[in-house]
Amino acid sequence: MGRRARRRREKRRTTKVLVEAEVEVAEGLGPARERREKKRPTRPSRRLRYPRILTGVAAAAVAATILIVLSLAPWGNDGEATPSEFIVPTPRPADIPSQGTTLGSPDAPLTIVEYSDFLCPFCTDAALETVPQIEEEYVVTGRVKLVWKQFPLPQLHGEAAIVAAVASECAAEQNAFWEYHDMLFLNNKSVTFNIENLKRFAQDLGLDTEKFNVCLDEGKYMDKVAADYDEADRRGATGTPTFFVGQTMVVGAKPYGEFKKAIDDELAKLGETSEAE
Amino acid sequence: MSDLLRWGALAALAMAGMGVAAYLAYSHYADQTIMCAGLSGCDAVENSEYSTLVGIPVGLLGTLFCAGLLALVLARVARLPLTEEWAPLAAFSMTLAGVAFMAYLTYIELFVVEDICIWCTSFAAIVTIAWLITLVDVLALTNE
Repeated sequence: MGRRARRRREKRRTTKVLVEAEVEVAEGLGPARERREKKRPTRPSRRLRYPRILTGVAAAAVAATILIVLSLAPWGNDGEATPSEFIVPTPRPADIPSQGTTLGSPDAPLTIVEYSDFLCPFCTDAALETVPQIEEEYVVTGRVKLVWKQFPLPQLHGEAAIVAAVASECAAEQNAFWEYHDMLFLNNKSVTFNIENLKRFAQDLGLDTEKFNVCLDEGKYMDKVAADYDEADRRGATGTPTFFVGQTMVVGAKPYGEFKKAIDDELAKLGETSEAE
Repeated sequence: MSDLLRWGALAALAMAGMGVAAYLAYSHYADQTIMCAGLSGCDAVENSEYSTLVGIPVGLLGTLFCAGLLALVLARVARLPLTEEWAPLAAFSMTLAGVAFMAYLTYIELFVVEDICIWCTSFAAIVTIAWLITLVDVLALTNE
């Protein structure tokens, strides 16, 4: 029995399967199942999803890297700094001697000492309006020399006042104090005095930037600034700007006429003193 | 957070970011002082050499970035072909790149320029929040 009976059973089973399949097709169940299977959402396997997210992260990393590299690349200036947007001062006549923070002939009979702050509005008015007239009438003619002393007031003008004072001393080290002084006053309303801009001022004035930057970064003249401040305090200065025209104290951005009177009086006194000697 | 709410929030953030960046771009081209809410850093940052990228102000790049993000969001909300599958990942990648670049710019502000611009910080915050929202979709995708 064995072999024949088994063959008959297999034949019956195969026939049954074929008949069932024919019935399904005839009743339209086949396409329906296909549609059902199509409708079922095909979720990518976890294995496939992770690479897709990693691709997204990689794309973001590449984009950010390109942006950062481009931002560091010099653009259209062959590696030089971007063209300055600062107001650059007009150079003073070359025949006015200057040494450190002193402007004018060392032999000038009268000395005007100014205790001032690069961020104070009244100091700015004095520096841009009054002092140039004093320079023109008295300094160029060798009768007066101007001496700048640092009197930064951080409580009024922020820490930047001290940093600017140190920066101006770094410029003085390269005998460019007065150019730097003008640069600071011309730009203090439009430019923030942070380290970067203070360095760019020096660069725009053609200073030795390497030397200047080291000087500023080290805060090389902090002690000098503090000493000037103490001196102003000792001499009774309470606000900025405070001028000492000889022995006469002039406080604030006074009109030129007031300075002129004080200077003439002091020069006259000196003349009397010289004659007396 | 529902799907629509997330994409709506992204659209709102993209528009806010576009406003902030467009103001910075306008200030750059009009050569105007930036209103800085009583703080001092905006002009220092704006005048910094890092405020442009290959000659293009970063404010303009930010505007284009947000416009791109907004376009993506609108395409997804309109259920344009492929957006259902790809928009979450594209938004995630875009905002992640934005977060990375803004992190770099914030580093520059803090340690190179040594001043903070409130507008740039706001933009960085907007991009970061947008990225966190897109992260929800992406994490959901990994947890399915």
